[in-house]
Amino acid sequence: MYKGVIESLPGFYDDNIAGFFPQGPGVVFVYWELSGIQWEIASSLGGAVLIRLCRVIEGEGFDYEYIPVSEVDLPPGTNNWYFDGLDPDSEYCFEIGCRLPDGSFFSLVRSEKTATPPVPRFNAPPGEREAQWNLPPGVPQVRPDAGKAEITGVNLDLREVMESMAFYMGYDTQLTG
Amino acid sequence: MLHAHLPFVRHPGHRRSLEENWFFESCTECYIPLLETFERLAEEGVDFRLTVSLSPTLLSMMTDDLLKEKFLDYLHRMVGLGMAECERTARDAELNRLSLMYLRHLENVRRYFNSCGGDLPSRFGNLWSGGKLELITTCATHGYLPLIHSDEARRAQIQAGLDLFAGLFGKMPPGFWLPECAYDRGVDTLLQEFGIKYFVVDTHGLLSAAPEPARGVYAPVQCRSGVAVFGRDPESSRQVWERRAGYPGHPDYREFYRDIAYDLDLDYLGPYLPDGPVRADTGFKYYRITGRGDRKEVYLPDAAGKRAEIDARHFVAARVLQLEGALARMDRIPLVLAPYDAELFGHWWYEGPLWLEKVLRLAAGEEKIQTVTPGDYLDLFPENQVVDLHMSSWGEGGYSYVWLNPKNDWIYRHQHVAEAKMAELADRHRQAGGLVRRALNQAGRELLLAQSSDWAFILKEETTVGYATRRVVDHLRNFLALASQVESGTIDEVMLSGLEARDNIFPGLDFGVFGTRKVSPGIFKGEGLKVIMLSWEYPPRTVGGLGRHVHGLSRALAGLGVEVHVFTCPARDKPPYEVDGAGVHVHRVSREELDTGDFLEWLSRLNGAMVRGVEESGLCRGYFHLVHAHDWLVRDAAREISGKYGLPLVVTIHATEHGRNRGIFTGLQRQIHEIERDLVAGSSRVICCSSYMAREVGRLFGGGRGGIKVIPNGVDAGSLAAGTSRHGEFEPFSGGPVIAFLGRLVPEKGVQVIIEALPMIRNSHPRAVLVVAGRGPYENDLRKLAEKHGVAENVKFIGFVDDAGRNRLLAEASVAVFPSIYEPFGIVALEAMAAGTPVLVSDTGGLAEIISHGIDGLKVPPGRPDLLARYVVELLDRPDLARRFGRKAYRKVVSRYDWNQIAFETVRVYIEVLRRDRGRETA
Repeated sequence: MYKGVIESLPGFYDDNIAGFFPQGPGVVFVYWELSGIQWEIASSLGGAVLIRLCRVIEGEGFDYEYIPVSEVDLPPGTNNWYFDGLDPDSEYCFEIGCRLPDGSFFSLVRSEKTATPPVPRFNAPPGEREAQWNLPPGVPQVRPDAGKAEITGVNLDLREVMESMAFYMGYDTQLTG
Repeated sequence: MLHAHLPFVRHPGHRRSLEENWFFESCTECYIPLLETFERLAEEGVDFRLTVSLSPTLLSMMTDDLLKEKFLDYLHRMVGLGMAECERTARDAELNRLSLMYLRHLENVRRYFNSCGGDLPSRFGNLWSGGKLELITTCATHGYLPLIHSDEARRAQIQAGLDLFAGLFGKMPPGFWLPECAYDRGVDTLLQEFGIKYFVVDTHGLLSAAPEPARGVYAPVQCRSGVAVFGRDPESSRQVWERRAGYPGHPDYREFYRDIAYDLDLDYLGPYLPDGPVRADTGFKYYRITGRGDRKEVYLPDAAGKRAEIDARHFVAARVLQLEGALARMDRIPLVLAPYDAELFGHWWYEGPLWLEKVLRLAAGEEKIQTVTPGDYLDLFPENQVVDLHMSSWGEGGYSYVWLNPKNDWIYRHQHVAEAKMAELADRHRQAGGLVRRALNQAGRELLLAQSSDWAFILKEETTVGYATRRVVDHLRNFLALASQVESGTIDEVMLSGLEARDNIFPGLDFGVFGTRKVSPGIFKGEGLKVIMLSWEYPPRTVGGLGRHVHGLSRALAGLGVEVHVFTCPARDKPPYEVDGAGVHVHRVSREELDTGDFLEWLSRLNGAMVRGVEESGLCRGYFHLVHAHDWLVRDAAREISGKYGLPLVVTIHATEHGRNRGIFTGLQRQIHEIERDLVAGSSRVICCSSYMAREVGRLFGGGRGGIKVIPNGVDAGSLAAGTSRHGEFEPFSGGPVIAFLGRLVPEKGVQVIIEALPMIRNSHPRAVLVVAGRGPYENDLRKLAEKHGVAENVKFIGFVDDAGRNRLLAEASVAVFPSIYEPFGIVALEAMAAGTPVLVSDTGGLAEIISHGIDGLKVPPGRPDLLARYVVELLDRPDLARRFGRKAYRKVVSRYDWNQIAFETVRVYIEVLRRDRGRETA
């Protein structure tokens, strides 16, 4: 009934936009827009434009990995979507991209990653134990002091270090004497 | 705790409006009766404490002259209706008694209103200063924070609300009511900026915290920022809120929905209704709930009063039992937090104020319990369990469903575009005056009004859908129009004046609240902080980013009023001691002290010389407050100075040996790794420049005694002068597009990837050249690689460039590429962004956190020359797109990576460390 009123707002901002918000522990809402230029690029790539939801997890090497969990061919005129069935207390992001003729996915825009909230705990009575003054998980506990580490018994020439250890390369020993 | 809020409804163009009636009804049935209740109790000396949250929109309406005038007109009409009702019901004793009751009540409200000159907030203020109430407030227009996109926009909601409150009451509130009790990560940090001590979340919001709160909802917890969090008690909530089983649903209480407005003739009612022939509640309700069916019996005030007494006793008795039970299981006095919408009392639940008065009287006479405010409780128990909260709200479902569903989700794309635009305009026009300032202030008002959570709520509940839709759309359209006018420089003053007169909330609003938070110079001068900064690199001696980081940070800290003493290596043509132009004290070890060829001996001497340097400065004993060490090379000096003089140690880890080598493989690497571990273990707080580094350090070494804080690197955007004119210096041979790389020539920087990509790029752009600025031992390998791929002529190695050379290269580059394999941060990428150069980075490490793919730059998986080539071609093919990325990247850098901001965050770490250190000493 009020569609006309809503449609008086701009239908198109001619910009790359990606919004990503959890509605609850298992549902997220995404919205997007591609600029005119970006649509040209998408068209030139020759594949279907689609949106892809990715689960974001920490990889072995501390970087994040993006695991596709759902893909939706972009319905014409749609600029938002709900994904449900997600895992609570997990991180996700979404991308808009093209499925290229060779089957690979070419990402055009990616949202920031966002966390779904956990499933709630209810009505937990106070614990009978003493209050634990723990730091939240994810803040690593300090390991017992292993003692002051000392470098012993290694005899390295300054120049040899500079030439063999990449981080220190470029350190101008001439300036330090 | 009562939260009083209404959306801002003020329609000067209409003599009467249905929506303004919401305000008038609430004043008549709720706010004034509650004030009278509290004042009566205070006068009688009843011992009670209560927290009342007054929203800025409500306060604005309470202090608006037009609305005050209209309220009196409303009361006049309603008194007229009361007289008419008394006459109409003269022959029915029961109804007539009720008509008279309502008439008396209206006359009393009018008397009260006139007696305080229409200044209701001042009455709340008196109760606050009289020690009975604790007043707090909420976001400016009750914006639902989890769906407000940026920190800038969230901060604006919070600050505008607090500014209005402080302007009215002369001081800041101790606590803050989150709209809809909706918390999202980072909100507490924003509140802490304003000195807010506590806020409230729903039950599950508290109980789902990590770790689980040991005291359940019976005590607050504390965010890492230090702000306390109270959780709603479910038992006391259910007893009042539940529609059927809760107190307000008792058959003896007045039925809300049976109003004469829906029973009587419109001809009779017309003169008294707000909107002509549209039926709307009058407040004259003659029936009680009776039961679930439609048959309602006449309301009996005496019976309802007795019921209120019974329910009040029940409530207090239930609290006593509840708290006794909790006390038996706890190590401290338990608290029950019972927050309600204030409008429940008197408006939805007619007997609510009476019930509340009885509860407060009974509680005052009860030995076992006491009414307190959250502020009172924190005075008793200032330290609480530290937890991490997740997103939550007290809305249906417990999260964002009410405000984010297919009926209202259309709002957010537009709202977020407006938020980003407002931030950009606020930063760009910081010095604006005159008409531009007025337009930006009004644009800010329109945005705040559009963000009100009430509109999305109404759309979901499908009550006054047309009104709510029009409000959102109108405010957003007004905002977009004003923004466009400011950008084009053609402001329609007539339109602006009209909006200022109509949407006149927050008259003192300064649009600057929407921009990047600016840190005032010298802000920490009063703290008198003096810091020893240990770094093996410092300009002019820079190897990688560490030296530039320490330089930028030190200068910014000095600008904020911190006295910084940097102890570092010698540098050619530099004296052993100087105070630089920014006021940083730089102490350089003498070259003679480092006269050795052995690396480890050299390092040992460097550290020893730093310790002596501190001693010989004559300032050590009791002069400095802490030590800030950068990376493992200064571990010995850091530990010795910190231990010897009892100074807390803050450590920044810029990169690790494990990360540089993708593992530990040699004896020396192992020993450096253990030194890094020892340095972290001995620190009071660790700072990392990216979340990536924080994860790496956390997993490898733990977080030290105080945990890890992420504070990014900064950049001096002014020194990079985006848009510097082209000199033609780097179009050496072909006149084609320049692809720039700046950095050390080592394998981890990934230059080999862009060289491999270059042939593919040149398929589309045959004249493209790669300009490589930097030095390193990998250069020969890279030259050979370029030859192997047939692009040796198209790769120009120009060696080390100074700042001016860097700026020229970035100005001429069509794209700057940073294809690192390992990159803790990537300060050079920031510099390219500050120069407005479109940037393409590896999706790894700290680089991945700087760029938003497709928004302000591009990211490519590391080690993928094919994808890198494709993205570079995309930018070269579409210079418009590249320019857009460049503009947005520049904006991101100046708003998030400004050195003043970085320094501000760093000083907060220093202060927190010192506070914790002093706390340990006095314990």
